[in-house]
Amino acid sequence: MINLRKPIIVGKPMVRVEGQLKAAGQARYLDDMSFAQEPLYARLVLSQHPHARIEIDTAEAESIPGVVKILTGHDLAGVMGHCLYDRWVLPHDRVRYVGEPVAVVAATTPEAAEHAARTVKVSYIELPGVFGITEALDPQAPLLHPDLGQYLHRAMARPQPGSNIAHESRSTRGDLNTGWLMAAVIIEGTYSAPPMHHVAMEPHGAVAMAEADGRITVWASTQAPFLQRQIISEALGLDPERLRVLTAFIGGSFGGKTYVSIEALAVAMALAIPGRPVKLVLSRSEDFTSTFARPGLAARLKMAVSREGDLTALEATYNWDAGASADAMIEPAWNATYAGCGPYRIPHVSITSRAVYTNRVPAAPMRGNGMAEVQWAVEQHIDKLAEALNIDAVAFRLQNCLKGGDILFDGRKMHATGLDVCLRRVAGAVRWSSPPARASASHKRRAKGVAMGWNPVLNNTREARAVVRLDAEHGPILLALNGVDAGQGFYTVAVQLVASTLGAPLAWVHVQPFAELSPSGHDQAPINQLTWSAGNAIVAAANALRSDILGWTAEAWQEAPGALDIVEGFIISHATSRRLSLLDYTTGVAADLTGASKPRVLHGEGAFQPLAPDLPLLTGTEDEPAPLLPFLQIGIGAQAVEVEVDLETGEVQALHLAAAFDVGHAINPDIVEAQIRGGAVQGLSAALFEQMVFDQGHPRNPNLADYRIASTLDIPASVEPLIVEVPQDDGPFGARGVGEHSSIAAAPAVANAIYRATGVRLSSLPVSSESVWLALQSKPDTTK
Amino acid sequence: MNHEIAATVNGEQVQLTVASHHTLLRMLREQLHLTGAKNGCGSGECGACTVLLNDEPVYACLVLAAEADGAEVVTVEGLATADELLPLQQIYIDQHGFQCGFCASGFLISASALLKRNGRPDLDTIRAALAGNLCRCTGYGGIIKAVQSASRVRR
Repeated sequence: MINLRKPIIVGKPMVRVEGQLKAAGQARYLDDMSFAQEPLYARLVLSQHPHARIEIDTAEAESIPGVVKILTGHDLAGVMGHCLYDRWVLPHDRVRYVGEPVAVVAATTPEAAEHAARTVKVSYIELPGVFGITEALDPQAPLLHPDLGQYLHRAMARPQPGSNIAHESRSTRGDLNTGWLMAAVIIEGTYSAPPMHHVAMEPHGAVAMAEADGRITVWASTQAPFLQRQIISEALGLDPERLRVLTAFIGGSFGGKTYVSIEALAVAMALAIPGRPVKLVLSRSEDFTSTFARPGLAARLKMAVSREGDLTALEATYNWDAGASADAMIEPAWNATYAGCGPYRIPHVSITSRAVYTNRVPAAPMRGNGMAEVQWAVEQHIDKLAEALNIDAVAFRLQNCLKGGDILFDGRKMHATGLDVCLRRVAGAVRWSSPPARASASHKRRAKGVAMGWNPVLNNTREARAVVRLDAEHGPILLALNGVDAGQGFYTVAVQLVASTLGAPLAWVHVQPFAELSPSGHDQAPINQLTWSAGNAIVAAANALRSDILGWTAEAWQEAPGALDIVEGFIISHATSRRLSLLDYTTGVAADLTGASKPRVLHGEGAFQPLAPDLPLLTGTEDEPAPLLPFLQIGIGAQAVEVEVDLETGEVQALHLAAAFDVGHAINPDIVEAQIRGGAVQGLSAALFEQMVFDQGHPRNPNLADYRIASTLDIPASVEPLIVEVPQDDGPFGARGVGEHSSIAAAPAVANAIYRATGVRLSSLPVSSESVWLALQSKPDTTK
Repeated sequence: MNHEIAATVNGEQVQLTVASHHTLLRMLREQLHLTGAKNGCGSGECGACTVLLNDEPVYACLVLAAEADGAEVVTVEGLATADELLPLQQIYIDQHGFQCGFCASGFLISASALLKRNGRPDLDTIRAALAGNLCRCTGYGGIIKAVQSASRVRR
């Protein structure tokens, strides 16, 4: 008698499917892979100047024994992009940031490649550079891209030729003047965040090989293989159907490995040396200087609140330091344009968002798509408004925060959301209403701070696709999909979704991350919010397979399909108690039983594309319908922190950090908690330690000694992850996802706590002990 | 210039010719194909390359391959037997001590060295022992919890 009760799989904590491999040191990342032949080793030659005309002489380098090929911008004409084509595969005659690759060398040994790279002669004629947002926006500023007006771009990019503004967009609703008139208090403020770095523990890299028949395979450490395929094939003039981008295990990305930087160089070199794998793995220093950095931000806010404590108006300017190429900043700039008001009900809004060129490494958003930086500004400003009205900071947020059914800027209703629940839970977790415990010394002060944030998915037409195969020989259940697990645990969630939907045991289901799906449309594969987007496609695929199986079986057994089910890998009939294992389903035996010959491999396909048919597109023209759709899925959360500040040294210690996120439905609560914890500490690390330091464009800390990230000694004694579940009506099993935005509110919560502890307001990140100490010195009434 | 060395790696005797400028990390990864120890920074700042050299956790990227002559080296691949993970490793999986997993090998070596010299480390001792291993994904909570749990397992 088999148990007809299905085990609960979705909603249950479960260990990672790849756990055995990772714990045994057997998981292979890019640099661990071995190939049938010894690869050639590629090394980069990097620009030593932030803005210069260059001439390259490779003659001497080419004569070094072991050197097979050297490529420069003369060999490669390509420009990379997907919104705004502004990043050269290799520059022709002009460099725009220190660390920009100007040549790539391939040799038979790493030593020969290194030697040759150092022997390539690059001469520079320096050009005046711009090293900050204000400088770059000055009308007299030298231009990084004087030919910006001729650059290819999609309708969603709004470059301003004749300036260093790569993109400018604006949103308005209501009427600002009305908003100011309704106000009892109006506060203005400026906030800034420096460029930071994603610092994935695994540096960037790619291995590429061109076959004799022209097909090219690239293994890359990337969370967006399909997007990379599109960008690289366009830039190098290749047929995308003949370029495969595959991934091994990925050692973190956080947005730094989405867009293309050096991967195109591995492919270019492979094309120049067909038949040999070419391996390009960056050093940590190169990872800092030559791939992507998190954008800097200069924000100006003016916000108004009525006597009753209702927000009436917000005017904001978000100027993003995009570095030397702004392609990866177009979508985040749009995000800020619409989401730069924070998750609040504000009737009168005007937001301007610009991506600005500077002579630094190009920017790509990190975890939150710019929302962490936006919230750094907004959440401190909210605290200021609350204080001005003498309203408690939590109560003020509860009064003004978005609730389900509120109308968003585009006429759409906010979906049901647990934002207020998240806020209440973190406030409760740090005992917000009670004063903090005594500080540990007389020269220290303790206080609590709170902040919240949102991450609206200003989505484009990314389509998630999945195929679930029943293949008794190889699986038995195999899942192929076009979303990549960059380490956040998505494959484990995917396995749970398949097992639960299909009715198969968990142990039967395996993800095939490299499997190729049927052609076309790959470039619009989902990159983030995978639980929601890819999760939907996976459930659809599993359901399709299940329906087919039950349909055929019903026919063969002469029963109604409704009487059948799949439980723990068995097709069972509730009517007659007949049963058949899925494992036998495609064998000859099953074929006899089912009375017909069935294919040995059955599969179901599923796809999910976010649709908002009744909503106006936000960008674009009639000729090019824009890929930007309004917010379709909004991640939200709140964080609260208790800190202790040392007035003598400025050192800030976070004692207790609580973080709550509304994930819709936690498919795997352990993984959700892990994401919340990890994001909270990343946010804390950004708040206290992180900054890429540039001196007239020269990176001063491209290493892990001087670019400090949190270690075990820096984490609070208590990090409390809290899961809130208000289901997402179009999410798989109600899930919404959390990995993208779990770090967005930590930094302003810390700043708000420091203010409450000391009376000093730090509006620039990072809140280092040095900056806290300096601020304390200039505050006259700080007492010990 | 090359050196002939003899070492014990994960319990096995090996004899190798190593270049004088090669690090232990490179020797392990390229000559012995033990890719568990990772190259995260190449300069002793991240800990992803941590291995045991004569029972001491070291950064393999800062040790010259030639220094392994006559020494015992243990990598993450040598922690478990052919059939069974260490309790530490199994607990690491159960308590989500990793996410992307790139830092896991280094942490497991540092943690196993800690537990060998101190069977009941308190929280501060654990934090200090692991301060030389960086993790970007987890926020360290799961790692520390796993080490605490492992310390309570009777061997």
